[in-house]
Amino acid sequence: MTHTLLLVDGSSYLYRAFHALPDLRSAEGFPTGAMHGVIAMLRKLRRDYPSAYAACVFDAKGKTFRDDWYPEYKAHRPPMPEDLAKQIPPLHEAVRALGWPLLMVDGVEADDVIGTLTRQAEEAGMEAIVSTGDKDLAQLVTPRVRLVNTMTNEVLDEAGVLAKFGVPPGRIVDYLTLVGDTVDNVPGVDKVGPKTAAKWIEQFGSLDELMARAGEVKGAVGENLRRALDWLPTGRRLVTVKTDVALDVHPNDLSWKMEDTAALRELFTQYSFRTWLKELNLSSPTVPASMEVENPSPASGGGGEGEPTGTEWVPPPPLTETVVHRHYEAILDEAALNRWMDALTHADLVCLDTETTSLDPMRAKLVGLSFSIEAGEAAYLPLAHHYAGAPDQLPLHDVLARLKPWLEDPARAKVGQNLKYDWHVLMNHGVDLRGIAHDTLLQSYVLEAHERHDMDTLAARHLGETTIKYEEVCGKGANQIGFDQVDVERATAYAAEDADITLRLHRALHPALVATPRLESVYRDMEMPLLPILARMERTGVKLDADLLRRHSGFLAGEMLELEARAHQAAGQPFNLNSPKQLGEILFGQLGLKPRKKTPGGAPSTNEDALQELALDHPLPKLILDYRGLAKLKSTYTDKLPGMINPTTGRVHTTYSQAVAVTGRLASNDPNLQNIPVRTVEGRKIREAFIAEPGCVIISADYSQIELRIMAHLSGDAGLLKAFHEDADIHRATAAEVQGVALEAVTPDMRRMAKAVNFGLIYGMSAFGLATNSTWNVPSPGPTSTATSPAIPACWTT
Amino acid sequence: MNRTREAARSQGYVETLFGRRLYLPELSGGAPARRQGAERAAINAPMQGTAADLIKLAMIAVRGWLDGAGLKSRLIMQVHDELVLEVPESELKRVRDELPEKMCGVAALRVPLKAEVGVGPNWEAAH
Repeated sequence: MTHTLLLVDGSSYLYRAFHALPDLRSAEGFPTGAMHGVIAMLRKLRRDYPSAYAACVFDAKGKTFRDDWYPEYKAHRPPMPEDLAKQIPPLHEAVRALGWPLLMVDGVEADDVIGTLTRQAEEAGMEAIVSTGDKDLAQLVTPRVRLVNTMTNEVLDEAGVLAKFGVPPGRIVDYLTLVGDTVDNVPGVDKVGPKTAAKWIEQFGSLDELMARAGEVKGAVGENLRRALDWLPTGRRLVTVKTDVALDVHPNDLSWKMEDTAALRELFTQYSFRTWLKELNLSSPTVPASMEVENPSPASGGGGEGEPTGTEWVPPPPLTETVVHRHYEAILDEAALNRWMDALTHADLVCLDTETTSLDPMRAKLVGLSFSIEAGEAAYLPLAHHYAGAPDQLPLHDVLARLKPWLEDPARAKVGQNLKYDWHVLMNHGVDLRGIAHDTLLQSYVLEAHERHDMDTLAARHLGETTIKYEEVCGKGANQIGFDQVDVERATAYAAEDADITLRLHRALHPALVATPRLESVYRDMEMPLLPILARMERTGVKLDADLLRRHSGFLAGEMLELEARAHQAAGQPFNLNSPKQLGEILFGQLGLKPRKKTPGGAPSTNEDALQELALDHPLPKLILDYRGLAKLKSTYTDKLPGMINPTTGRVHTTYSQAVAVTGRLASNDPNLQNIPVRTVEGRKIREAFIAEPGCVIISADYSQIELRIMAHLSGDAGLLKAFHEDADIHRATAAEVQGVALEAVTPDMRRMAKAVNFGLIYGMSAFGLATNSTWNVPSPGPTSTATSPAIPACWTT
Repeated sequence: MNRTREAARSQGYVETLFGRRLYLPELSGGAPARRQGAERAAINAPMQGTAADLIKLAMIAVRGWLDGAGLKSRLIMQVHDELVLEVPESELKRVRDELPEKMCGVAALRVPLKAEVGVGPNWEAAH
């Protein structure tokens, strides 16, 4: 495996950060902008470019060999601003605490140290990545050395240097000599800029050749060139980065150090880097969670209350050590398609992604398909890009006809991120995607249900990769364009990356699942088989009685009018019920109610919780609550559902989210079926509108008392088990047991309280809460026997 | 129950009967009120999560049965602990009779599972 050396030109970033960032100050007024910029950049770099070795290099104080050659070197630079100079010592501390080896070498510049290390790294068979904002370092680029500029996200390899400067890396010194460097006070040839310099180098091949044949250059610039001939060799020496500095370290010595979290915590506290402090407290892997509980860190007092700390599972750092080299291509002709189809049919597992016209799975049309078979190797097959100047694309219909047998073959395994969506898209074109073997969305959900599972987040979290965002390609808001309008080259970079990253995510996440057999079983036996079932359910949809819903909207509007009239009466004057401001004035001004809660802005709150409390003091808050409840139902369901009916199918197609709820349950949107009130009249009216096709009926099957049954199983409580086995009234049985009376002797009151106990247990009420809520002396109603079933989580055993 | 809380706190998660992990990051930090909320969740989560597992297994079992038996009835909704199907009248009797046992057969707990079936022209009537 090739190791990577990551080098940072700290000094170049120091100045840039100082000038680019606002004048940040710590709580004590100490300037922190440059520190902030450099630390942020180092953190990002480490994440984006995983490496085995690294160093952050700064200029040492004092003169360098260049000053000896040329006294005016950097002569007109003003001295370093005091506000910047004083940030340097704490910054150096922070760099070291972050685990970066820090280098400063007297008598040479940071550039020379970096130059020397890149050459040594190459000799040792490593690759090097140099992070700098300084164009001079382009002269160091080789097939094994690349530059990155974290401020512009620009990566320069050999081709990149040629594209940017018009000369290859080997001629950058010549180029810089001709152009000069005003920042360092190194003159070039008068009136010669980048274009002329590149043109000359292309024409003459090198600076030496140009100088030898200077007489051939015509015009005023020719004069200027000839006048500069004496100077140019000195200029060249000044702009040449040294690659043979005698260093007392070798790249092999530059492995990462342990992060010194104690030092970081101190620095971040002192300089008020609150976000990082919070992150540090979140993920600090060296401090056991239990210690965090007992010794709250200094941050938990100042940070937001209730911030999670300690026990969150921190994923291991990205496994890939070297940067994956990417090779993405667009499939635009028969030859490329044939090549890829051959590869697809022979691969064990193919990552597949679709690009479409819409997020609505039932209406989305295909714009292109992307595939990846190997990490870093991916292709985008554009099929329906329409914009002026779009390249010729293979015909969608023919391509799908050729791909269909492979797409529909259950024996050809596919992986993707949220393939349920892609299945719909392909179904919209008459292709029934089969062989859905893996889905990274579900892998991540089973591993860490409480985290985010979007691809961009997963890529950063597990691969240390920053991905191209959809908004970067298509824009945002009103200016967003459809994917079919995106330039094919840009679309290829985006879509092929999606497929590549998803394949690599699968290779990172799936082994993590396999390592925990029970989790793998949840993924393999539950979530994956469910995916096509949900897809099919969504596609089937439900028939809706739109007329009934419209009538119900009218009915709700009538009820709301009535409530409004009663609210006006209770308030003693008309007012706008939808205006929290007017409502506040009535409640706390006119009626003189005592505010129970405040908004973050300090005004008395009129939100649901506040109104619930205020309802104890006056009838108006309850009327407002009822009014709002109806308004919500009307706007979310009865007004909206008819518009959600798909004109083609005449049915409404909800979308199930399989990876959202931290409870493990499904969620649904458009419409959200889980939020229709269960017990109210209004909820019933909404459910009445979900009807069957002629000749069909609706059958509903509901697990009865499922959570109580699970509790009985988990706890092994003899009374509960017996009651369920006898199919007895469970609350009556609990009452009889707890009260020590016969079943027949249980009064309705006893049963009601027992029911509260049972549900209290389900919802985790403490024994204390149960006692106060039920006004009973509860003789341990909870789990009483030791669980023995191996299926029972160990955590449950009492 | 205290053991549940302790174990949940040290692991940061609780498990359902089938091994699904439910993370409760607030268990070990933050304000006492939040932590108490998370502790209640630690007690409830295995039950709610196991109920989620069961209804998912039920969907897989029911779909497998419908496909295997060549029935035209279709799953159309899943809400809370409920499955909703659209059923041709010719299949009504069979589905009404066999659906509960398919749902209750997905796991063998120490208590029987029970599914209540309703039929009607619309969801409310069947609910």
